[in-house]
Amino acid sequence: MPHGLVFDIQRFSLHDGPGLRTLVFLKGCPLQCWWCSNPESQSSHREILFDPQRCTGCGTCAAVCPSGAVFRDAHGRAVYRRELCAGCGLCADACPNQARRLVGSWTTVAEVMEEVQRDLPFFRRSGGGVTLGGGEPLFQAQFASEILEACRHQGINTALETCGYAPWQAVRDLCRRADHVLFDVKHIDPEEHERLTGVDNTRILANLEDLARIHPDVVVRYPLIPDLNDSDAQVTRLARFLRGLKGVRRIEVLPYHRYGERKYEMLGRSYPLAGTAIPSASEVQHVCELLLAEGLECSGVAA
Amino acid sequence: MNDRVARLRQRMVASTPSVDMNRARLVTQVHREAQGEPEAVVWSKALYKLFTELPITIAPDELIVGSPTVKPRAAQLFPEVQAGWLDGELDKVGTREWDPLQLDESDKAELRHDVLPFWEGKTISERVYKWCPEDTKHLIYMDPAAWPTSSTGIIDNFSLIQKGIGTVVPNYRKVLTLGVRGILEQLDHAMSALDPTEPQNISKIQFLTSASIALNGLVRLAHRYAALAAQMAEAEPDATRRKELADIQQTCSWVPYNPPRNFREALQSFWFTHVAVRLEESGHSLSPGRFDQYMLPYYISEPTSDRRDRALELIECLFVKFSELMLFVSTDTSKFYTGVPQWQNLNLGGRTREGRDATNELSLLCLDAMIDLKVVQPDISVRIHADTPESFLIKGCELARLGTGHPKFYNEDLIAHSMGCKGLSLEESRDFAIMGCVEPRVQEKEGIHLTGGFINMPAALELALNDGFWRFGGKQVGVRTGDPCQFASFKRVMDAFKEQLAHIVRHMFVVNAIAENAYSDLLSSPFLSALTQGCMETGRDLQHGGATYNFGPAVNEIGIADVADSLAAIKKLVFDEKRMTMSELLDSLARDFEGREQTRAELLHHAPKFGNDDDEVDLIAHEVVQFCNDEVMKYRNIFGGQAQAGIIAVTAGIPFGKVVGALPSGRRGSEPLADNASPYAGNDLKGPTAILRSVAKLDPARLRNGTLLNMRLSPTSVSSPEGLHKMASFIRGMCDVGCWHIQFNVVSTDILRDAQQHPEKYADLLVRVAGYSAYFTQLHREVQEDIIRRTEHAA
Repeated sequence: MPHGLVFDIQRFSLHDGPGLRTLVFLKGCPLQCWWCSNPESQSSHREILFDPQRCTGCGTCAAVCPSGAVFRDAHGRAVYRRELCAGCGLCADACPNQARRLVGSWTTVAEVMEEVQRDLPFFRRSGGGVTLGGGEPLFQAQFASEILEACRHQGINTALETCGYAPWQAVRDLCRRADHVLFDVKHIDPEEHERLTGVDNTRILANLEDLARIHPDVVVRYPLIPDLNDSDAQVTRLARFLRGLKGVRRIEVLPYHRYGERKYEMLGRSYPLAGTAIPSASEVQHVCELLLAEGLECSGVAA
Repeated sequence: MNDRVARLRQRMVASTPSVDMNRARLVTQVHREAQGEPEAVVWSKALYKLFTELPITIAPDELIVGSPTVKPRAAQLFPEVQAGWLDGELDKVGTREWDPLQLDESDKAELRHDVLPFWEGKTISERVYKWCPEDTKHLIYMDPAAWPTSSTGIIDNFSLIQKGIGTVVPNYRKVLTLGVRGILEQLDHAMSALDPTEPQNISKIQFLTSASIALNGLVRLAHRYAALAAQMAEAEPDATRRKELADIQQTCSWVPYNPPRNFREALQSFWFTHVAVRLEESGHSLSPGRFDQYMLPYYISEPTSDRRDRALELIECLFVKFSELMLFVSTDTSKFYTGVPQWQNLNLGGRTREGRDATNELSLLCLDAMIDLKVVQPDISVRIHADTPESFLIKGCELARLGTGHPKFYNEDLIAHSMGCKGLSLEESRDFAIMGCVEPRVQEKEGIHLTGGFINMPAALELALNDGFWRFGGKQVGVRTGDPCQFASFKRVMDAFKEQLAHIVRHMFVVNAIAENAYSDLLSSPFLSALTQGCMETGRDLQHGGATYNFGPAVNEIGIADVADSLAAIKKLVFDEKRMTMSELLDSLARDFEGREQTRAELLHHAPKFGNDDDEVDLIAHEVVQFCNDEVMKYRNIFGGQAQAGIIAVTAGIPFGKVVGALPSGRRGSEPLADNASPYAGNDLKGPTAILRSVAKLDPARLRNGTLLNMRLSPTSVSSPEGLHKMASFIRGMCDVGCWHIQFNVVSTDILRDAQQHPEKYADLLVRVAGYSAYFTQLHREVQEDIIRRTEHAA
């Protein structure tokens, strides 16, 4: 049975496709967006989230670590050397305080299905189903594809969340298996896109154009980040690009939020957008109106 | 709502809850003067005196008239059940932390002088105290040696005994279809068949006589209102109001004596019946039942032009009347039932006796009225099944979204199925009515529910972990089940827990049996009995077993999640994984985790928790709940009916939590227990659908008294039309997976915190407490905190 690296399965999701949905988060992403609210999703390896606020310095973790990544210093405090960590998770299991959490679990398709089928009655009643997200599902395309196939067998509606950064054949093959595609466009300008996410958007936009021709239900999602991609000119340029795409049903504006900020600290990383303000409701409304004015169906999604 | 209704609502909201002593005075007078007369007749004479002598009033703007008290939100007293503890309450009721009520000094003095001495020793609670065996006393009374005392918090049936039972759906339909006239004719007919020389007939004749006296009294009450309206009309300068008063006069001259000729008369007849029951019965949960069913014929008989608007105004006037009623409960009881709940449960939708969808125009109209009004009563219940029209469900969700706690949503078919298991016909099972929190009753045929009460499940576990010793009380009240450190397997722990639980349940029924005898000896309910099927036929009051069905008592299991989480933690951490020893665990519990934070963290984070759709703990919860259910169902009441269990905590988790020390779930001593069937606050990490799955695993259909589930939703998740539809499908899914009921608080933590800071801005903020809504700012701080702790679900 093929398996993949899953870092969370969330039930009762209301905003990621139609109806009530279960979100399956796959680990590993080719992009590193500055605003990423799931930084633990980016690496394709298992890793430890360490919350210093919960640590009582009991030393249980140091006692069980087989690779010397956690040890106690001269003052008895726990020190964590992330570069030595093999991601085995023994410390997380041993920690009584949930100060250490292992992100990523090797999961079979059958295990994923067992979990998602628990909400079948709610999928049926609401027209909901499963949404694959991440991370980037294309990063584990074979695994993602088998989950979508298994869902189809069970009559479960599927949605795929993707940043679209992959060879066209891969994008095409996976998206075809999903009933809905939630396609992220982070920035319309190639250079800015590269600066903010680490990769150029030429391939992404080309994939979106091609996908829109063959998939009947593509929703574009646009994260709205103050000062980075929210100018009228950028939004209008995006709208004019999207307007010509046949399969694109709608654009959803996802206002920037800071829920992920603490996780950077827990990964031992600094937060690229420290101090950035959350867009106000009227700013979101304004962007929606710009998009509407260009003839796009648009909705702002609550964070 | 229109201006009239807005003014009526404002008058109610602005009124200060108070005590009215007129009932106490009049009832005592009758009993004092009638000593030696047949008990049943004395009670009906008391009722007659109330109907004919209580001060009455018609407030400005009112269209539906009648009230047990002149002031809105005033509580009548029922010395026949309350006198045993009332004296100690009189000085504190005005200033108590929980649900204070204003009481005049002169009334207080009169109560002490003239009323309470007469009833001394004659009330249910005193009788129970005096008759209770010593060993049972230790499980029931905090201080077994001194009366009055409070309950231990291990068992509580005190809160019921102290204020009377109630819990009934009166047969309003009978008054509507026959009129009081028709019922009186039936009584005459039954009487004429009884030969007074036959000794067995004497009590029957007395009962039938008492029922006639009570019914005639109600007609007199209606006529007093008619006369008052006529008198007021004469003095009324405003022509419009004069016409309204004339209409009131006509209406009250006709109903309830005659069957109503239109919708308004039907509402007025209904309301007089309700007021009569509220004057007769001291208890809570006197519920209108399937209002949209029995009122429908009168609604559709109205001319269709502007029918809806006229009916809406009248229904809104009626709902304000419901909200004007009040109950007096003791300080102790008010902790169990915070926010002066009344549980006047008004059912909408569901199925007909024939199994068809019963939702109608009136069902929708009642929801519209509550959407307009946002008042505390009646308690709106919405019954959902596969054929329920989407429009009705969506309107129910619109009401829920307002954050008032209304309505409650029920799984119609599952409840009907559960009713069928009691041996009812299919038609009777379908035609149940929900009363109280979530309890189903047989319409028109079922008596009162007898005593019952609450069982503190975590207390039983604590006894099992301490060889029967109760830490908080400092004494041995349980069975000796052995030193847990010697237990070789988890099964031994479970067996010890079950033995303690069975012991507690048994003692509860020792008290129930005494209480049932006391009720039967001391009380009669001639008015309610006249409406209940079986009483007239057998010539017996329902307090004496006259009703066709007598199920109960109802026993509620409190702290399910606490017990399940605790047992699962012991199984996993002590026995399966051996992460700690039993003695380490017990030592940590004894210290309330003081200096044992690591152990507590293990318990909190490394053991499965109920509410996450995890069989490892959910199946333990099921075993525990159904074990208690089986124990309860072993017992029968004084009339032969089978007892039944349920999971309805009201706010009992707070006082019960105070007498339970630290638990293996990681909960610290004296903290509140888990709310009703909900996961322990903050332990639910997998969201609302997982909670429903966990609760469904308890097998609610088998818990015949009902399973209550509260959930908090964030307002943003249901603010859009799409969000509303998702909520509706969530509720349909709730039925599919097999839960009994769900109700929502749709209000954000920010708002609730702000309301605590600035209560003046939130005087009419309604929230769902348990099986009822209450004004948030009037709740005790601990209950407020409990509501805030319930996880707010967004996605």
